[in-house]
Amino acid sequence: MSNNLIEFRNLRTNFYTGSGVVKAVNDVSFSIREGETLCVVGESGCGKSVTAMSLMRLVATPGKIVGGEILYKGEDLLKLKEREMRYLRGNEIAMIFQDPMSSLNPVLTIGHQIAEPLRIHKKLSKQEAKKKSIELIELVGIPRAAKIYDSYPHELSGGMRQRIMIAIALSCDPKLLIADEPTTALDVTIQAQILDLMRDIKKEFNTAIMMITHDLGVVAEMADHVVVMYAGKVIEEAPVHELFNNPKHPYTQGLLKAKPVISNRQDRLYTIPGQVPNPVELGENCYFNDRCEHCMEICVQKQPDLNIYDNKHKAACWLYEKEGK
Amino acid sequence: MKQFLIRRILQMIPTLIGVSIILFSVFSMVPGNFIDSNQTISAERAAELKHIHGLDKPATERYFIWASNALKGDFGYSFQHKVDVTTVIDRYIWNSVLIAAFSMIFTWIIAIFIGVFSAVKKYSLYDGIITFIVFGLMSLPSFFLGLLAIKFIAVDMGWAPVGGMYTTGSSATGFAKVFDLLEHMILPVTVLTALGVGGLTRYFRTSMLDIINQDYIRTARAKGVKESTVIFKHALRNALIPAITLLGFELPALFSGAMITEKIFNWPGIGRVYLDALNYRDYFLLMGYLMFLSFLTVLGNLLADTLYGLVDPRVRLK
Repeated sequence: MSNNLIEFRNLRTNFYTGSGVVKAVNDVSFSIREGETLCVVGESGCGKSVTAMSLMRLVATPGKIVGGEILYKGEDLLKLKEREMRYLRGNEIAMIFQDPMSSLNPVLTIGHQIAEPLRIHKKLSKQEAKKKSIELIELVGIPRAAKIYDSYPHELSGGMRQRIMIAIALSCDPKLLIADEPTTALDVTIQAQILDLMRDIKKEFNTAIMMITHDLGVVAEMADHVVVMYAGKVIEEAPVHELFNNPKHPYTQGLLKAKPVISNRQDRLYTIPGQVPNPVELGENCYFNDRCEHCMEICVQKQPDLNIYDNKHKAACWLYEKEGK
Repeated sequence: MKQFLIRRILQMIPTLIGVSIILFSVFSMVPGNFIDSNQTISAERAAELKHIHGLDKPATERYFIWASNALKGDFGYSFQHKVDVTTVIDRYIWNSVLIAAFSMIFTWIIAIFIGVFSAVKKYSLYDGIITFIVFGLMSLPSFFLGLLAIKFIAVDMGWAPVGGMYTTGSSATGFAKVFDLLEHMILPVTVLTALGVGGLTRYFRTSMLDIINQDYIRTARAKGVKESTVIFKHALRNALIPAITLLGFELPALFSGAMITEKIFNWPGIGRVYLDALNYRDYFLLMGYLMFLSFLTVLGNLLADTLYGLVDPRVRLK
């Protein structure tokens, strides 16, 4: 485990809203190894994106990182000066976002937006940056790169824009690529193309990828390692095969059951009963207790810890503790 | 682009004809005229004068006489000033343009900076104080603000002359004359800027707040772009696009003069002349001036639409 690229240690990020403090990321710890693809899954509002934005230190107000450490190559990012952090952003840690339609600046040319990190971080001249940008546009599989360089975002389709976002993210050969639901806003054929592209890139540059998604199909296709989040906490963490074959937490089991299986006709897909808890009023219990079919007395009284079981499989559930047996 | 311009210019013609009809009907419906308001002449003389000036003809006929002359560039005769309307406008309008141009430049620069900073530091103490000051200045009537400025800046501090355009009796030429003019401009320009900065500041603040929360601003930050570049390059460029409509309206505002402010500071501008012309029922001057402003409004709109294309690639005509 010495080649950890990123290590979250007890990260806490709170949002101070009018109706109370929302613990969007609540004591989250996991790590990403060099060249590994780690998928973070969970439903909307479980803190996946906030975890990623905390890593970039770009959590918008009223959000604030209130505790923990984020180690990058052994150095705590939360202690860096803003200038040092800016040097890492787009250079060693790059990010692509969910909605390619709105993630590019409408009044600047594509070329300008790709060349920008090259000029900032690699200190390339205008001509060198242009040459490299055109190479990058070709790398992400867009033909007529020289013409695209001078285009504006509105002249490109959604899939092309997401490729441009990937080109921007790759421009400075980052060690870690954070992909925040990169395929959610795209249609299915384009999704497959974008995932293929990301896999090729990972193979070619040995870039670690932190992929945020709620699509278990994407997880199965991309991940080496999976982190499952629920209401701001990590509830299960395992290598991808282990997780799919042997899910421990009832929530993960529910998610996998809710997935349609080809050749298996069902009238109705399984759904997990109940709703995600209101993030403002969380007490000291298992946050999943009211939706869990195995709910026991201890589940409403105490919060389970994330413990390691066999095969590097971590889960936070009383079912596997001696108190629950 | 050429086609667009030609089409738009042709569209201006019916608009202006409509404006001229409305203008003329409103003024011809108002009872009384310049001759009626003169108590010193006899009834026969008044009738004679009305005949000479064509005021006894029916309104529709008068409209066509006025409109056809206007097309030739003759907007009639100012009874009050005893010269052509165009001469009167030309004599006073540039004085108004002078203070309007200066205050417009200051207003826009100040409003952009204050607006951007109060958007970036939303809900901070700075934002609160600025909002308070700006709303205060915006809410004060111009005559009150003008009097306050005279009291504090001109009388108490002695930093600027109280009113007028040049020092009375001064025979200065060249640089000294320009300097004298600038000194007299301080108060009217300050008051006009203070009045105008409020609305525009709020406009830029809102526009900027909207842009700052856009995804592409997050993208720029995630690329490691400096915060100042994020604000002034990535965000401000987008925030300025809707302001172009306002810039189009500034064209007539540049020439319209500031009636009350000019009156307070005794500035020989077109706004003051217009106010006097209203009292004297000098209709040809009023109509000529309003027609000119309507033309500028329509032209300003065309200018704004053309500028949009230059600034926003999404509406650029290929």
